[in-house]
Amino acid sequence: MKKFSLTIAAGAFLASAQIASAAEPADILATYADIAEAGYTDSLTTAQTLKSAITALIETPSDEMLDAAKAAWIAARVPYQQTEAYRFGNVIVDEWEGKVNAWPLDEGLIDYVNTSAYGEESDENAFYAANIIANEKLTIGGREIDATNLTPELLQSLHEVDDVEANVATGYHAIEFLLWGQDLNGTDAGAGNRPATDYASGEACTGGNCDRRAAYLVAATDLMISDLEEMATAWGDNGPARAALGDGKEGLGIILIGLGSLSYGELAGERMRLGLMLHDPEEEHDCFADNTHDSHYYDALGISNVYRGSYTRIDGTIVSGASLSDLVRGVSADLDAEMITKLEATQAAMRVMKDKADSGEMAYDQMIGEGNEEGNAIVQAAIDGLVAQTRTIERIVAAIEVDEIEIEGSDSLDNPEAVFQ
Amino acid sequence: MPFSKAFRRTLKGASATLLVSGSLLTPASADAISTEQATALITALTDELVVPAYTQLAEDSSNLSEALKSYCAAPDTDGRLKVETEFHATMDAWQRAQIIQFGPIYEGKGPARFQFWPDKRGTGQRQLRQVLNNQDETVLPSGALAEKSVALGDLQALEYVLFNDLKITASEDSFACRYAVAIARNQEMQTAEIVQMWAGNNGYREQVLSAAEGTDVFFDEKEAASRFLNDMAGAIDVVRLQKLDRPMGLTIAGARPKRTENWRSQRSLRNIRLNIESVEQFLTVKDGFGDLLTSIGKETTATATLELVSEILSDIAAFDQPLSLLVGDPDARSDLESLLTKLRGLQSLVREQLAQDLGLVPGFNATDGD
Repeated sequence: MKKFSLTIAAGAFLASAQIASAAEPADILATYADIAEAGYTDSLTTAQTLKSAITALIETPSDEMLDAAKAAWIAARVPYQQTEAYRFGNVIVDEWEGKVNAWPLDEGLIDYVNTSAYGEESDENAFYAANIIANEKLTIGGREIDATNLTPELLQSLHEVDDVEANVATGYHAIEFLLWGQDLNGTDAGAGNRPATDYASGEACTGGNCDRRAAYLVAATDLMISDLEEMATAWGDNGPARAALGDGKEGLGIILIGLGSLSYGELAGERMRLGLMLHDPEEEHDCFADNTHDSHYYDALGISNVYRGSYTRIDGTIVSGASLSDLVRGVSADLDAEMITKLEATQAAMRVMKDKADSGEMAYDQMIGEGNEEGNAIVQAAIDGLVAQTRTIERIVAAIEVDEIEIEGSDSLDNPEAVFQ
Repeated sequence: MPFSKAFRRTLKGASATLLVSGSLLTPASADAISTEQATALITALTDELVVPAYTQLAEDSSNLSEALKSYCAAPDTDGRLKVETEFHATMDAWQRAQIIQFGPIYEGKGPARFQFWPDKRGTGQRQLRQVLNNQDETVLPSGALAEKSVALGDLQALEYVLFNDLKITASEDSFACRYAVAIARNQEMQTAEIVQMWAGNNGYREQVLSAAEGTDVFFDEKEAASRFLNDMAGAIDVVRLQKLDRPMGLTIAGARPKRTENWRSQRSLRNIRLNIESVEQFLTVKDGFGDLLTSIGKETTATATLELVSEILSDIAAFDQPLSLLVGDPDARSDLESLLTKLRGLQSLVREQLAQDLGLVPGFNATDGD
């Protein structure tokens, strides 16, 4: 795995960087963990607010209540997406992440779908149109499932059922689907348009099984809250995620893996470039809510937060401290300046994309549409920014080598352990 | 991600172990190779492998395009055979060139213009079926496919049109046959463009060869050499994770034959062989990675890597069924698993030992995300 070698290189990097920089790895890692703790705690807080809005919606299924729940979901994405810079590299986060943010999903697993747009079956997924909400008992591929009680445990057991990643039963995107419904507008304007009456009781109920739909939504939200609680705690004092960073040697490698992998393979590649290549409205991260521009924007911001060691919380307070930027500056001021320039260029490109979508002029799924030159160019500019910043992250990893020449024969080269004592 | 979450967990466990042991390795030495040595390496790889690989692909896709035009005008058995031969030649050339993961191939919509695979969501196939069912004429005009979804103009699409149902291209002037011509023509045009972008005046070739002076693309010659090293490692990664592990599944019950690459034209193993042969060429070409290692006294690394490569190639040659059958065959399981293990070993050798010996730093790959 590439991940190994980067880690090794980062270990070497540290050996030399330590000499020149005032920033101690332990301090950098403390800031890093503090930002993670704050970010997951903010995600938890906003998820709890979402839960209140969902409870209100189910009690009074009106358009106003549905809009309030949607607004709460969008607000909940803001801190969560900024934590994605922690996902790669931190084993504890990566193993957990799929429960809350798995994507893309075959939504027919959960609820009714428009079959003319969605189709009725898939070669890849036997649960493609299982519709858990409509079916208390299911037999699929010889497997019997009792879905009478839509509990968090049941949803957990259905998540990635049959070893198919698109069977997403839990997390932000399952909740998103239950609030918005399918976006049937293709690459034309408009998000999903689920009526509030999908949660109405008695004769007013649309879409069938409104009580089960409500139960599913509550269970999925409760589960997400407990998952977020677990991760906020994991980054607290004595938490396992904080502890796993170690004393600095491995930890800086983890940070760099997280920043590079999210920038490049995940965000620039899987989530953005693929959409431009396929010009397909299904290829957007928050496809039901048309919130993808925000999702990407806050991902990029999260990368910058980590590098610069500063995060602005949802209440406006700032968590900051010793950063990777400080350490890199100690090795090469030019390299740090290059990284900051690249991060800011990405932010600016993402801002253009976000403003375009927020203004209502063009949603993300329209931007990636075939023949939309302006939209394609906006998304491509953000991708280019992410790719360019990845190259600088690699240069940061490689900068070590240059430094080692300077310190050849020193303890840091001959006895890498010595400098950490 | 190109591989299952569960498998990823296994890898993550392994990486956690290495996180600790990694720091114990001797750090890569920056002056392991000289500027001249690095420049000789990147010159050899560019002129002996990269440019010839794209030139071959251009030639083959042009032949394919001609063969399809003749066949569609008057479909017959001989014509069909000729088309299949040229399709396989083009695919062979593409699979050899696939290892190159930087430069002009990344312009525009990137390598997926040539092959969008794996199509994990079935998006490409859905789009393709729509074109065929609706006989969507907008794909036919010259240049049209370059603007559309990559899944409509790539070699996967061409394979589907030619091999999913042999009948649809067999009648005179059929839509499917005209569409196949349009795809082949699209491939021909975009490959010619890549050749030009590498080898033309002020082309990418010159960027690579003058890397030591610092260019828009490369900080220095070591960075360029690192890109090639990264490509070797990346090619092994793709074979291991996307082409083998993903269709194999965690257990034999989870085997997914239709996740093998190009199962419709039965060339999954042939692709893998060609990919590994490209890795081998990076090592064996004159002034390539093998010569370079030897010249700095690291012939043991060169020998070990080459031996493992030949072992892997003879293992691949020993299979006597298509991979789509092998993945579900209990008798073949241990052989496939052993192949995976050897590929993992090769991966480590390239990414860790070669990188360390040469003082190079392989970077992030597109497969790093999820």
